[in-house]
This record gives sequence, structure tokens and C-alpha cells, in this order.
Amino acid sequence: MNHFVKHTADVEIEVSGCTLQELFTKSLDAMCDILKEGGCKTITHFDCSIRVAISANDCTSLLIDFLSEVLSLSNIQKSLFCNVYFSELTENKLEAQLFGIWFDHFDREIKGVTYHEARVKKNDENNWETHIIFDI
Amino acid sequence: MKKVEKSELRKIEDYLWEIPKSFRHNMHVPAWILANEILLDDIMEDRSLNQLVNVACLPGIKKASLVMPDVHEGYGFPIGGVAATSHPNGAISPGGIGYDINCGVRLLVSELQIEDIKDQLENLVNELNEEIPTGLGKGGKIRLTQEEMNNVLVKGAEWAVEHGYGTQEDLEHIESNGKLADVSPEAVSAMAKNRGCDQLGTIGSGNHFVEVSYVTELFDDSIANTYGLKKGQITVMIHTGSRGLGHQVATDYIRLMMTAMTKYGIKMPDRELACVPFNSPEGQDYFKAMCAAANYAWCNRQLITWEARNAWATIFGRENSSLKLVYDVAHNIAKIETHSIDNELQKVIVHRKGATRAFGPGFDELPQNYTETGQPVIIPGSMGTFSYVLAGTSKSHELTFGSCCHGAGRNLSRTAAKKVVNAPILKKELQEIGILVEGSYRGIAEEAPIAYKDIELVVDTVTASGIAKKVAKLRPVVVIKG
Repeated sequence: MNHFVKHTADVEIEVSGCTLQELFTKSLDAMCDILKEGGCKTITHFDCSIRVAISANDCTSLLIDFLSEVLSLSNIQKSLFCNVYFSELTENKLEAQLFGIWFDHFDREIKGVTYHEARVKKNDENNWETHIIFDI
Repeated sequence: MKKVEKSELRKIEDYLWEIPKSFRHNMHVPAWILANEILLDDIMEDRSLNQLVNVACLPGIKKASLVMPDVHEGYGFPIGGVAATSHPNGAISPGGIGYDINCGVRLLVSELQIEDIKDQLENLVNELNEEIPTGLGKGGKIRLTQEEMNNVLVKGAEWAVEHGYGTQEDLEHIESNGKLADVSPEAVSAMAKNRGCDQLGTIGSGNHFVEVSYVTELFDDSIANTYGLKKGQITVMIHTGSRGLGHQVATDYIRLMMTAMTKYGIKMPDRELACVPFNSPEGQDYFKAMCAAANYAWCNRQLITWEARNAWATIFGRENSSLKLVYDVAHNIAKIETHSIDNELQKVIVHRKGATRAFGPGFDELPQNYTETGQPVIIPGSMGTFSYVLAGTSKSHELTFGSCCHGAGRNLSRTAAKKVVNAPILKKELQEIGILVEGSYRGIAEEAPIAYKDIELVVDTVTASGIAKKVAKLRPVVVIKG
């Protein structure tokens, strides 16, 4: 479940998942919802698909770098990438196929996915969790 | 991390507070807050001051990390932050500039008075809205080839003027003449260029806008006259930056520096403050890419100026279409400047993140007609409140590395603003007091006046502290939100 957290200027979310895959998928869902509220809810088909491969020093960087990559591709392709299939996902490497729908314009501009306050870790319930701040 | 408490602040002057270097072991310098006590109490509410303490840990930082009275919490640096690091081996941090490189404001003046345009405001809203693409994903009228993109990155606003989108006089009234020299287009990634290829002449979204206002009050007739400002006169303000190209440059280099800084033995308390020595290969590559993105932003604001002039000509006719550029200032940028530190002139890398340069009379790089007045410092309010034109002073060089505030500064989160603001009602209320707003209801709610600090308090603080002086007050009549 994603929660929006109070932040003066930007959009901060708290996200958690039973698995890394769930955490990454929910984080992507939240980013898509910021770009186009409810934009992924009514889709009946995908217009485009693209493969991404990312490696990083740690899991936090991997998540932020993944979201940054998808954000860049969303802007270039003018697409909302509502679905992702991870063929590989470890704590410092991923390979995934993104599936998107074309959009004329988004609701909001995300300038950057920041590392500030982001820390992917396991909580007391053994779930993965982190905060993410999007620069709006 | 230990929160800064008010009891730990030392009052230096009425408008200047200090967090001593002893507050935390890894601070290299103290942290200074420029604010009156009312604003200070607001500032204590969020995490701005903890972020300011983190900035004081930058390698090579000089004198103090600083925040202006419009400060609010950001990520890494607080918004409204200023830090100067030693040149050439002090740190450069992309987080100290932000994702929207060279986000800035320019102010144009028309020959028309408010009485001349009162009956045309609705037409003006529609025409500006038609001419200037706003919102995310809205491409501009120009699509740059790779070669032309490189020319834009090297030439900045000059590229626009060469292609008929402005005048030589415009260039003379832009900070750094709209072009930074230390550019390498090769330092800008293909993805960044791809994101920017169709965005010239576009506003974007968030807090970006085009606003038509009129001068309600003059505080210094002589300086106002030099800036070309008269009472009742119509002005146009443009607020935007380097769009997706700048966002991608920041993303690329923050990622790079997080890995590179370990090579230089640098540890920062926040990943978003990732930095490297300015004279390292990574530092030089970033600076060259940042300069390129800054040039793109100046070119973008020049293209929007051309679009605003077209709208003006359509509504008021070519004979009344003159919109003269007063000045264009950057508020997210790093510049190499010389300042007096410890009674010695020193070259420093000044990071301004949500802070405006405010050079006083006689300082380098001012347009010839502003050398005796100091540069115009343009301070936009929120969509329903006044904006100000200030003039830079020599005191800003003594106190704030030649810097000033950049706006009113947020005090409500976007989520909180949306909860308390009914956008259709606000739009109607603003219309009833003569302010026409065009934009999405979401944007109007998030950017509502209630979401911002009292600009009068912010401007009173900077003028009372002596880092700028009041020149003119502007009241909005038309706002096109991004």
C-alpha cells in the first residue's frame, strides 16, 4: 500500500511490499499515478514495450535508478508504463520489460526521482519498505 | 538525525540567525538563516534547517551555508539555499543546483497602462494560452536536429536571437547575457538531448507560469526609471527552466557522483548531496553539462518571450506590441564568482538553489545601464498576491555571496493545499478581484496563495537586512499556469 507523506514542496510516498518485486512494482504504480492520476486503471491494451537493464551499488540506488530510467522513457516516448515484467531482480541488478500506453500529456511533471530519504530496508514485519521523494 | 531547535540558534542581527559549527561534528562552517522571527518560526516547522546543516558539510565550503527567508524543505539542499565552495578544488554538487537547472524568471515591460488593456484581459488569456504551450508532454513549435541542439547548448539565448526570436538588446539584459561559456555539448547525454529536442518555447508544469501584472507602487523612482518601470504600466513575467533536458542532466550526474565521490574519499550525510571536487574529471563534466542546460533554459525563456510578443501583437496590434526585457535571472545554478571572504578576494563556486543573484552597483557582468543601480532582482509572489522588483546591493556581497530570495516560498505541501483549496471557487474569487487564472484545477489548488508564505514578510526581511532594496510592486491580472 502506498501512502503520501507530508512534504512542503514535493511529493513524498511511503511504499512497501512483501517482495522486492512487489516494492518495485508498487513504486512504479505510484509514479505513474503522480504523472497521470488513474491513467493506468482503464487501459485495455498496450501501445509499446521496452526493455531496461540496470545495475547499482545497492538496492536503494537500484530502485531510484529504475524509476528515473522509466521516467525518462515516459517523457521521451510520451507513454505511461503501467506494467512491468522482471526477468531478473536482485538487490543490485535488474532486467525488465516495460509495457506502456501513449498519452498526449500528463497531469504533472516529475523533474526527478530523488535519493533523499530513500532507504530500501526490511521492516519489523519482514516486508520491504522505503520512502521516495519526487521533485515536482 | 538531531533536529535543530530554536534554543540552539544564535541571533547575530535582527534578521540573521546562526547554527554554530559545533552543532554537529561534520559541519565545516556554521549555518546562517536570513529571516525575521515570524518567518523563523515557520521555517522551524519543516526539515529545512537540518538540510542546511548537511550543506555545511560540503568539502571546501566557505564562510557559512545560507538560507534566504523564503526557504522551505527540499531534498539535499533546502530550497532557498546558497553555498560557496573554494575554487578550483572545492565540491560541486548537482543537488545544490537542483533538477530544474537554470529555472529562472524574466520580466518584460510594455508601453501599455492597465487602463489600456482592462477590456482585453479575456482575449489576452486566450491568446497567451494559444501561443505558449503549457503542461507536461506539450511539445513546442520547434523540433531541434542534433546539430541545432548542440548549437542551442553552446549559444543559449543568442541562438534564439540569431534565428529571429529576439533582439541584441534582449541579450544585454539577461544574466550572463544568456550564455555560459564553459560548455561541452558532449557532456550532455543523448537521453537529455532527446528529452529537450521538442521543448523549446514551453513552460512545463508545477510552479511555472506566465503572468501579466501592472505596477501599483514605486519605492525608488530613480532606479525604477532606470529599469524602465512606471506606475500603472503593464508587465509580463515568465517563470520556467531547462525542462526535461535539465532534469536529465541532473539525474545523470547525481547518479554518476554517488559512485565517484567514494573515489575522492567524500562522505555526505544525504545521498542527494553527492559531490566531487570541481576540478575532477567528473566535476568538470558536470559543470560543462550544467552550463549547457543553463543555456538551453535561457534559450527557452527567449522563445517564450517571442511567443508572448506574438500574443501581444495579435491583441494590441504591432504598434503596441513592444515588450522590452527588464532582466532575466537564474535561481537554480552554480556560478564561478569572486567574493570577499575573510577580507580577501577569493574565487568560489556559488551554488544557488532557489536563490537569485543580487549583484549591487559596480559589480561585474551587469548591463551597462544597470551598473549604477545594481541588478534587478525579480521576486514573484503567488498567483493572487503581489510580486516585487528589487535592486541588488553591495551588502549582498558582504552577507550572502551576492544572493537574495527567489519568491514567497511554500509553506503548505501540495497535498495539504489540495485538501483546503476548492480550485473552481478560488478561480472565481480571483476573477472577482480582477485576476484571471488559466490552468488545471489541480495546478490552481496546489499553487494557491494559501500554499505560500507572506511575500511582504519575505521582501521586508531581505530589504531590512540590506541585501536588496525595494523598487516596484506588481499586481497580477492574468496568470497562465503550467
